[in-house]
Amino acid sequence: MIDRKPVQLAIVFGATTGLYAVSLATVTMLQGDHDLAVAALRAPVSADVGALGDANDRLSAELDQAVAMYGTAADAYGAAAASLVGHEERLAEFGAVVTEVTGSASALPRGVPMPRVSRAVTRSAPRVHATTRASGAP
Amino acid sequence: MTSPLPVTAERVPTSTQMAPDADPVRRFEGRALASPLSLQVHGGTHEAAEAAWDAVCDEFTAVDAGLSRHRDDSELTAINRLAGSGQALVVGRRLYTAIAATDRARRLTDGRFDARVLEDLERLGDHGAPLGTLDGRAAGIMTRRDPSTRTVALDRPHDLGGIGKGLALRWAAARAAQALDPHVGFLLEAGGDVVVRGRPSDDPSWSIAIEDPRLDRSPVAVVAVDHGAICTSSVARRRWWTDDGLTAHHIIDPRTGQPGGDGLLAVTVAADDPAWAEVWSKALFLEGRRGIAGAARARGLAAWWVESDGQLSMTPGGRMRTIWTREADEPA
Repeated sequence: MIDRKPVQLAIVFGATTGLYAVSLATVTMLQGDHDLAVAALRAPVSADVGALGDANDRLSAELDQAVAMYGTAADAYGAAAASLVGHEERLAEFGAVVTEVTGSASALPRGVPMPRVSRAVTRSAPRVHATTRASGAP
Repeated sequence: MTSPLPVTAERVPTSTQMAPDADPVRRFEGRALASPLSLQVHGGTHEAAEAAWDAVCDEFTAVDAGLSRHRDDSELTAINRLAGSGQALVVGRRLYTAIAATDRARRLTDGRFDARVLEDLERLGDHGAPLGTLDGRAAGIMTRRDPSTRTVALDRPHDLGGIGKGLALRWAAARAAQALDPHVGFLLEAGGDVVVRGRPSDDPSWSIAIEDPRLDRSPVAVVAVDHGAICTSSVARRRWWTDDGLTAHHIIDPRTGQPGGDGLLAVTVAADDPAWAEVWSKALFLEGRRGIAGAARARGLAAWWVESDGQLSMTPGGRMRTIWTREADEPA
């Protein structure tokens, strides 16, 4: 009697392998179709998500720009405030000077003897055309 | 050389002097308004100079007839006698202008200059023509003027001595200028007040001395005047003893009715017009030693003043015109 078990085993192995291959191919085909369907379903949402991402990027950029402008304005305000403090200090000093001058002015005599006249170069009174004097002269 | 021209009915010119023909300066002298009157004409013809002197004498005669408080027959005495009664008189052009000028001067000097001090002068012993008893005087009477009819009613008697002399110089100078060629310079002096036009023939400008009001009467300063007038209010001459044994002078402070100008002997002011130079010299005098500098500088006046101790002071405007001072000439 011829031993046919190896052949049968080979046939069974071959059939099983073929069946597995067919099943795998079927499953692969079904999986591919499913993936295509899912991708088709997700395509609009993906576009929306992309647009939302772009908008978010623009908003972020604008926010960065606003932050930069705020920083610049804050720096300018700080500089102005510092300058204002300086002005206030100088104004206070000026007020003190004005007060001092006012006090000095009030202490000045109303009549101040005039200094020597620089144009007077003659040693005696120059010749005159007339004399202004008290009325009632003889 | 005696002038044939009577300056006033009571005051005849003492002389008229003219330099030799080689000298272009012609001088005329007389008296008016109780003071010396003189005219210098530099250049031009003798006939024109004579005509100018005639015009000057005529003008001063008219002013004396209208504005003198010492004349019994003057227009001023007539309206002074009616002062306070409300009665009005038609007056001449000169007196009307003088009354209007005193009103304006009183406003512009904040009341320092006020011609309504005649009663104070009379009370202190400086008498003019008698005014009589003012029976009809009533309280609340205001000075009224109507320019269309030249009608005037005074509230109180006026003394137009100072401003009257200034106005006489203004009007006489205008008439002299009409009689002379425009290029001819002349100097007109009345009682120590001077008005000049044009240029002198011997100098670039007119040199006017300011008299020291103390005893020696020598110049305390010399100033240059190119055009206009220079007038002095001084107590050097018109001083007297009152019945109370006090000394008085003729510059009355209208706020007190008493002689004013404490600490001052004389004030000189240069201005375009002699009447206003008179007004400001008197108003500044009444500021006294303590107030004169501020008042004169606030008004921008060219002013000089001599204090009781002989100290000469001046405003910046006065300093610009000063060419000599005795103080600078004295050894340090």
